[in-house]
Amino acid sequence: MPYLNVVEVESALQVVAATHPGFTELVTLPHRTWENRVCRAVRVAADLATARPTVVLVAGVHAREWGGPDILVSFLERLTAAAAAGAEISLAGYRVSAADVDRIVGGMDVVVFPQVNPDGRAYSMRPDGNELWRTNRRPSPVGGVDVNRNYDWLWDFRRHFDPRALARGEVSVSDTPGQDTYHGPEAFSEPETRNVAWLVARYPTTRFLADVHSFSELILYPWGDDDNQSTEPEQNFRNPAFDRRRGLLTQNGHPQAGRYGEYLDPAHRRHLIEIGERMRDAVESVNGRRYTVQQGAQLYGTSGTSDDWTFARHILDPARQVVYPYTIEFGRERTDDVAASFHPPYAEMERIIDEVTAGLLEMCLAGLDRLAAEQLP
Amino acid sequence: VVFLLGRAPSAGRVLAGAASSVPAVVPGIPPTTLVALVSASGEHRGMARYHVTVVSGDPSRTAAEVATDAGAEVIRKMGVADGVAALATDEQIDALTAAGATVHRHADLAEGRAERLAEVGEGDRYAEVLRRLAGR
Repeated sequence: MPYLNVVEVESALQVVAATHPGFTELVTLPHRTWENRVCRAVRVAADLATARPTVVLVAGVHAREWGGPDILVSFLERLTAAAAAGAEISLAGYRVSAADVDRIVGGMDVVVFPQVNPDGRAYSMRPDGNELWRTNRRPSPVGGVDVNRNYDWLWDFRRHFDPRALARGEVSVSDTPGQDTYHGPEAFSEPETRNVAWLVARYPTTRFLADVHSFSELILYPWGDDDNQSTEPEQNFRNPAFDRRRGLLTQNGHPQAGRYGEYLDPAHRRHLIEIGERMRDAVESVNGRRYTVQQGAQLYGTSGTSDDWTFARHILDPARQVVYPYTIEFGRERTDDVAASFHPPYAEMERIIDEVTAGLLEMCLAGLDRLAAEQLP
Repeated sequence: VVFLLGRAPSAGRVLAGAASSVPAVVPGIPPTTLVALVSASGEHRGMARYHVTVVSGDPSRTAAEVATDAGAEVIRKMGVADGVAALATDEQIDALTAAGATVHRHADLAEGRAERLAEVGEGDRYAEVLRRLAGR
């Protein structure tokens, strides 16, 4: 079974929605891509008329990371098939009982948007394209934009980050058109980014989000700009007093790394790690691959990413509930084969699909447990 | 494809928008810009690209800085003992070497490409199911 091509990802969503009209809904995203493609998502919910706490799953953001859409399509097919049949979901070493499938579909809205950047995926998969293309396909003169650097969170990185961290290439972002991490002419300049933001806004009950990428076998949680800390609340992304001080990470050996750390509420930190570790254990139970749960900045510094933007929303507007967001980096690094690191041979990808599906199902169950705990006196 | 030495236009682009500028990294030529035939969208038309490891030859500059300045694409997720992993063309490798960096060239990215692309679906495996669902 080969990787899904761009058309097949969209068809898969239509098949799921048409097969299970009683508890799924095909959602058409409002912004067409630069190559005029229409993007769709599927919402799974036992009661489509009532908004429940929502899990948003996105993939296919970076063009060359081929497996993300395949993972989410498989997740969606398995979840809906089990819900329709009143059956369990069984993966090697990991099982979700029929009762828990019912708990997920009955207690949550699960919104699956598997192909955020179809233009880029098509170009990466085309014989006359560029297999290792990362960005979207915004045409010249601006050129490709890294969708996962285009969100409105510390987007204006030169204002927010320490110039030394930027000069040393420790922050994975660029304002140079043509670079693979080019953040775009302005925040939310790209239709792909606006589609994800629209989805989160359309479901204001969103409480959990996963953005599926490759590679490195990581489960990342906020923040991505600097080392997390939970003792100095005034050190936060909104505070201009700390502009041009962010991004000097301890792991890079900066003597001044400790002068800024991004504030993370200790309870939120605990919950982020708790859910992340449950995802990790579920992943491991399938193929024995142990992903590492860590904050995003420990991979490298970033700005304008989906997880940080999503997590920041409840801080910018306290009326919003906190969203627990993750970036999953599936698959292992192949030191001698960079292309296969981003999109492994499909036989290996099938094993990865199973393990990440387990992780995402466990994210839903851990999310339900978190929501139940919030309702305790 | 050749590098041209010349001043960067203010917009950072030359050849009627068909190419982008790369800041100079050649010692002794500070006010100039290396210009490569890389489109503004980052495409490297007709050029072989390689997986490389770049080690900075300048203790004051990191490998990531040097590689990025030469227009190479740094792959930060790949762990290397020293330096950074990157994707680079022959010309970018030459520029890196001229800047004093050590470049270890690994695989040509074209190697195995046909096999990898053969693992992409053709047509639409869902077409028949869709037709059936539409007709019911």
